[in-house]
Formats: sequence, structure tokens, C-alpha cells
Amino acid sequence: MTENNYPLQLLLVEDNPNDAELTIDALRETKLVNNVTWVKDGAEALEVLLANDKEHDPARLLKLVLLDLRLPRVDGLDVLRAIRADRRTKLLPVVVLTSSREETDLVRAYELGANSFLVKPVESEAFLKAVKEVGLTGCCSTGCQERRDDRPPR
Amino acid sequence: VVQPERAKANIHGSASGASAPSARHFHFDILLPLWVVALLGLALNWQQNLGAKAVLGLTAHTQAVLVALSAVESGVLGVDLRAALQRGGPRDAPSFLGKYVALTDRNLVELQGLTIHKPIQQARLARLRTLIKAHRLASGSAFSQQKQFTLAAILGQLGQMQRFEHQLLADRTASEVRQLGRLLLLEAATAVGTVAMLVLATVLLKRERRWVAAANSEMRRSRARFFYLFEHANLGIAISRLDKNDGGLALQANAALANTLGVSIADVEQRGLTAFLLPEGQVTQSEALDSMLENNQASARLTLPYRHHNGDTVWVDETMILRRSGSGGESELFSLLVNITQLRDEEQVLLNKVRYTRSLIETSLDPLMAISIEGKIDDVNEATVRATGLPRGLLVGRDFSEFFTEPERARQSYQTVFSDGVVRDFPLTLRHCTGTLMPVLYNASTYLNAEGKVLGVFAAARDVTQTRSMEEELRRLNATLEQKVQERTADLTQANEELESFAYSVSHDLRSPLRAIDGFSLKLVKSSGDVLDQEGRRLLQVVRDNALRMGQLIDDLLRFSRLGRRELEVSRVDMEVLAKSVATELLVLENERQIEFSCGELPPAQGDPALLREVWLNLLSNAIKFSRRRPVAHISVGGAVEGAEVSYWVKDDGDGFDMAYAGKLFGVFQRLHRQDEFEGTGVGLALVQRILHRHRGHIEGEGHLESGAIFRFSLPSAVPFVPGAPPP
Repeated sequence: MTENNYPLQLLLVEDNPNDAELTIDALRETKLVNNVTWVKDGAEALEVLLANDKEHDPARLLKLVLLDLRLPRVDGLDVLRAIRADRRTKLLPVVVLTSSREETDLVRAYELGANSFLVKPVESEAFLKAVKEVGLTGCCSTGCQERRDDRPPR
Repeated sequence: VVQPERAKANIHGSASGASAPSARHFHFDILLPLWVVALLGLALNWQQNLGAKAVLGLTAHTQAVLVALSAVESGVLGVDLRAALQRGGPRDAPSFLGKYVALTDRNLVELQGLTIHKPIQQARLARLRTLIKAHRLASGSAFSQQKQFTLAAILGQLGQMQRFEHQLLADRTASEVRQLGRLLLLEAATAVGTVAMLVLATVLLKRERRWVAAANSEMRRSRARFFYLFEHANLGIAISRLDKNDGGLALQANAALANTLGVSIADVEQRGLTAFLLPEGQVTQSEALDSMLENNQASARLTLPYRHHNGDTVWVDETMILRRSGSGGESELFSLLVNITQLRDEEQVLLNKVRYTRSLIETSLDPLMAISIEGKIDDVNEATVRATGLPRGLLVGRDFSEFFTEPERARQSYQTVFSDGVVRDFPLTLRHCTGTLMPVLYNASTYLNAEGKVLGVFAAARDVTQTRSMEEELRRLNATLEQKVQERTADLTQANEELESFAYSVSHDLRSPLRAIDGFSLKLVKSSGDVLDQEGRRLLQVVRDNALRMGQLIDDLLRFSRLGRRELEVSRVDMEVLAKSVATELLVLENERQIEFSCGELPPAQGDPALLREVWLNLLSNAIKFSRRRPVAHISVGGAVEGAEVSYWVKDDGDGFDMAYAGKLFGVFQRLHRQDEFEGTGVGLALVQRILHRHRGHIEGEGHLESGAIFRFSLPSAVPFVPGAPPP
């Protein structure tokens, strides 16, 4: 699922394969994403995000995380909490995936530092809006700048 | 000596008869010294008389001595003369001489006797005898020298003796004269004294006569007064002879007494007072009399029942005074009677009142106590005796606090009574002598005398054993209830949480396949749109529409469940602003329709603004929805204050509904229109009703087919706080 021309490297955390397939379809439609890493539960997500292997640190390349909240093993909120707790991923944009606007978990997610949310099924327009919202498209926003400064030198 | 004594006795006797004691003593005291003077005068007089007689005797004695001396002289001289004449003369001479000698000797003996008390004369006499003897011896020889010498000596001696006697006589005579003078003076004085005494005696006697007369008249007046008093006294008086034989015959009785008994004075005097006594009174009286006589008492006081002439009993307060006769004669009994029948009746009435009052106190079920200022029990009632198990004797005088389990607190409450005047429902515990405890509520207030001075405290200790046990039971039940409530609340909370989690799961898990259905249908349309024909695409659209609708249903259901459980955050809500803002939001979405919206003045409400917004949202969107077939729709909103409620209404002129189904208006998923007429899930009004119920308000709808509908809802002016109420 790697498409090198796409400027955005992205981690999708989603346990439902149907949802994952539809989401990836929508992302591909946007032609904005060049690499989607799909993991099926929270523990796996944390492995990818917080691996100690410095040479192949995937987290360095990641620009965005799409995080479903209802996950087996480690819950989405716990993943979010861990992302925000680690120095390397503290500023990584996280967009939460939810099945309804009414979810109370959304509030918790924002409290824990989520940057935006998408109601499933993810549609390409909504995704683009969200990407804009977190400041990842077009010219570099202040958010880009800050993240670059914060990143460890290559 | 005897006579004055008798005179004194007479005066004394007469004086004792006088009625004025001061006068009697007065003249006796004056007369006594006078009598002494008189007696002294008489005694002196008599003594002087005796002295005079002695002087006369002494004079005679001196004369006799002188005579005897002369006789001796002449005897001596006679012998010598005869001897001279008879010298050588007749033979009878010796006998003649002898006669003279004998005479002289006789005279000498006489002298001896006469001068026995005068030692000087006796000594001279002794010398004379010696001289005479010597002379007689010398007379044998005639005219001898010796003879003449002794004669001269004898004569000298005699002369000496005679001069002595003469001197004595002269002395005595002078003293006699002096004595006589004194006697005269004394007699004169005595005479004067006697006269004065007589005069005084006369005066005194006259005065005494006046005194006696005055005393007599005083006595008469006194008697008259006594009789007046006796006759008119309000007090019944009887004087009886106390005789063992006739048992007290009345000598005299007064009118008051006769009146008391309803008989005549004569009746009383004839029959005696005792005759009117009732039998029990007779016993009492005779016992009292015996006691008086035995113990030598002067008086006794009794309450005795007498029988009135009309048969009534007359109660009498009788004072008996015993007058003893001087020497074993008859004694007299004075009876003073006061009729106390009415007093006794009144006393009885009073006593009954007192008994009644007391009986109320005694009947009280509450232990009652009168407590002195010092905290000592003055009085208790029967309930106190029962509560403590102690007899009154052991309670009265003891400190009241001793009988409570907490004496210190009891005393505190007692002090409060004095400072506040009253103590109400002070909880204490009373201890029975067997150790049983009785919880009481101590109620006390001060009691005052007529002047308003605090005499002590009147306290009631109400037994609250039953109340306490009931309270205990109630408390226990409350605790149980509380526990049950807590358990139920916990259960409910848990159930709510489970429900929440269930709802969450349901929505999440139900949506997931819906998303797949919709998503993959769409994917199919997109990827294979050219393969599918018109019908295929339509079918896929139906699949998608239904998935969408089901998503809405799930959302609404979840919303309904959530809003129902949400805690109310009550504040003042400006309903007019709220209704207008909601209407504006909704009308913007319907900009191609013609809707005339009007909003009247709406009173503010108390409630949760977010939920009330939901109410307006649902009602207004319904109005817009169901009026969409009208070319120009009319929607109006109004409100009013109605008593303790505020009410609002939303009216439209849309399709309305059939009132026959009005009961289904507010049911969840209940719809009065077909889905192809008006879309909807049937949750809106159910949600509205639920929100209003949670605000203690209510809603009703009224509609007519094709002529619109009106929904009225009202809220209480003040909404009580209701924590997370469970769904109905």
C-alpha cells in the first residue's frame, strides 16, 4: 500500500477491516497520502510509534495518526495518552475516528490532546478538511514549523 | 411592849382589808417610825423613872449610914462620959457601960452592912473597930493619955467617914436634880409625839376610809363590767361546779352559749353543759378533764361536737379553764365556747378543693417534683414514687439530681430554669432504686409566691421510654431504608452505567455493519457503476437509504437515552431569545419555503438551557416539517405566566393530526404519519416530553387533520434539583 509520490506518511489504527478498507479507499482518493501504515490494535500501534530502533524509527517519518477509539487490547484513548506522553511523538497530529458525533469518548479524546476527529465512514472531503485543520497541507503553518524544530536531527 | 405589838397587828389587819394596796403600804410605812419614836420615848421615860427611884434609895442609904455613924460616935462618947461621972461612983456603972458598948457594936455591924459596897468606908470602918477596941482596953485606966488619944482617933475616923458620906449625898442629890430635868424634857417630848401621832392616825384613818369606799365602788363597777361582758359576749361562757358526783353542773351560762345550743339559759344551767355534748364529745371531754386534774394543768382546748336543739351537730372550739378551790373544796370549770361549725364547713370545702388539686397532681402519669432553690426535693407525687421505687420519706429533702444518671447535667438543667425561667424537653435518665433506667424529658419552670419571689422549681419528667424505643425503631428503619436506598442507588447507578455502556456498544456495534453496508454499496456504485443497470443502481440506493435511516434511528435512540439521564443544569433561561434563535436557525435551512413566523412575549423559565433548546428545536422543526405542504405556512409561538407555572405554545397551520391517535404522540418511535409523507424517527416528541417531565413540567398536543396543530408545554416557575433521574 505504499505510494511514494504521496507527500504524507500516515498511521491508521483500526480494528475493523471493512472500515479500514473504506478509509484507505477514501485516503487514496485524496492523493495526499503516500504511505499508510495500518495496525489493528492499540498495542501494535504503540509498538510502531514508540519503537526504540533509532535507524528505522517509523515515528520519525509519520506525519499523522488516524486513531479509532474502540480497539481491542490497548484502548484508543490509552494510545493517545501514550503518544502525548512521549517526547518524540508529543506533537504528532492525531485525528480520532468515531462512529458518531455523539460519542462521549470524543470529549475525552480532545482532553487528551486529539487534534481533530472524523466520523466513520471516512470520506475524502472530510479527511482533507481534517488535514487542513491540523495544519498539514499547503504552505507550512506554524504547526509545521514547530514540529520541525522539535524533531531530532537526521 | 405588848401593846404596840397589838397595835401594829391591828393596823396590819385593817390594812389587809383595804382594797388599795398602795395606800395601805403608804400609811403603814409612815406610822412605823412614829411608833418607834413613841416606844423609844416611853422606854426612856421608864428608865428615867427607875434612875430617879435609885437616886432616892441611895440618899436614904447615905442618911442611914450617917445616922449609924452618929450613933457610933455618941456610943463612944457616952461610954467615956459615964465613965467620968462614975469614977469611984455607984456599983451599977459596969452594966450601964456594957449597954453602950453593945449598942456601939450593933451600930458597927449595921455600918458594916450599909457600907458593904464601899471599900473605902469598909477600910475606915475596920480601922474604927480597931480604934474602938483599943479605946475600950484603955478605958480601964481612967483618963489616961492612951484613952484620950484613941478617942480622938475614933472621932477623927468617924468624922472622916461622915464627910465621905456627906460628899456622897451631895453628889447624888446633884445627879438626882439633873436626872429630873432630863425626865421632864423627855416626858414633854413624849407627850408632843403622842399628840402628833394621834393627829396623823386620825388623818390616815380618814384617808383609809376613803380608799376603802373607792375600792368598793371600783369592785362594783368591775363586777358590772364583768356581767356585761358575760351577758353580751359573742363567746359562749359557762361556769360549772366541778363535782365528782354531779359531773359538772352549770352554775351560770350566758346568752351566747344558750344561743349556740338553741336553748334557754335556764336549760343550760339546769341540765349542765355536758348534757348537750354528743357521746363521742363526752368521752373526749372527760379524758381532757382527767388529764388536767392529773397533770395539774390550768386549761385545755378541745374541738367538741354539741347537739343543737334542732338536732344539728354544732362544732365548738372549747377552752376549759379550771379554777381550783383553796382548801380541797369544790373547783370551778370555766368553759369558753366558739361556734366553729361554719368554719369547719368552709374548711371542709377548702379541704376538698385542696384534696382535688392534690389528687390531680397525684394522678399525673408524669413524675412531678417541687424542688427548693437549694435543689432539695420539697414534694413529689405518686408517679415519682413509682419511677424511683422510693417512698416519699426517702425522697423529700434529698438532692433531686441524685436520682438521675447524670447528676451534673441534671443540675445544669436546673440552673437553666433559674436563668431562663423554664427548661423544655431536656433529655435525662431517671434511675429506679432497682437500677432500671427510664429516659425522660425534663420540663421545669420556677414557681413564685404571692410577692413574685422564686420559691423553687416545679419539674415534670415525662417518661419517654416508649417514644425512645419508637424513635430507636424509626432510626433503625431509617438506617435500613437509607441502606436500601443506597443499595438501590448503587444498583441503579450500576444499571445506568451498564445501560450507558450497552447503548454505547449498541450504537457502535450497530453502526459498524451499517457503515460497511453503505460504504461498500457506494464502492460498488463507484467501481462498477458502468456494469450496473438503472435498476441495479436504484436497488443499491435503497440499500444505502435504509442504512442511513437506521443510522439516524440509532442516533436518535441514543440521544433520547442520553438526554433522559443527563443531570439537569438549571439556570434562568430567556425563552424568547432561545425560541427565536432556534427558529432562525431552522428557517435558514428552509429558505425556499414561505413561512410566516411570529413570536409573542415569552416569560423566562428555570431549567437546563441545552435541554430546553432541544424542546424548542423539536417542536419548531415539527411545525416547519408538518406545514410544508402549505404554500405559505404560519407558525406562531406564545407564552404566559399561569400561577406557579410558565406555559408556552407552538402553533402551526400544517397537516395536523387525528386526535384519535393523540395518545401515541409522545411514545418513542410512535408516528402518526407515514414515512413517505413525513420523514422522522418518532423520537422527537418523546424526547420533548421526557425533558419536560424531568423539569416537572408537562406537554399536550392538540391537532385536527389538515388544520394544523398546537403544542402547549408548561414548566414550574422554580424547578427543584433532580439528580440523574432514571429513565421511566
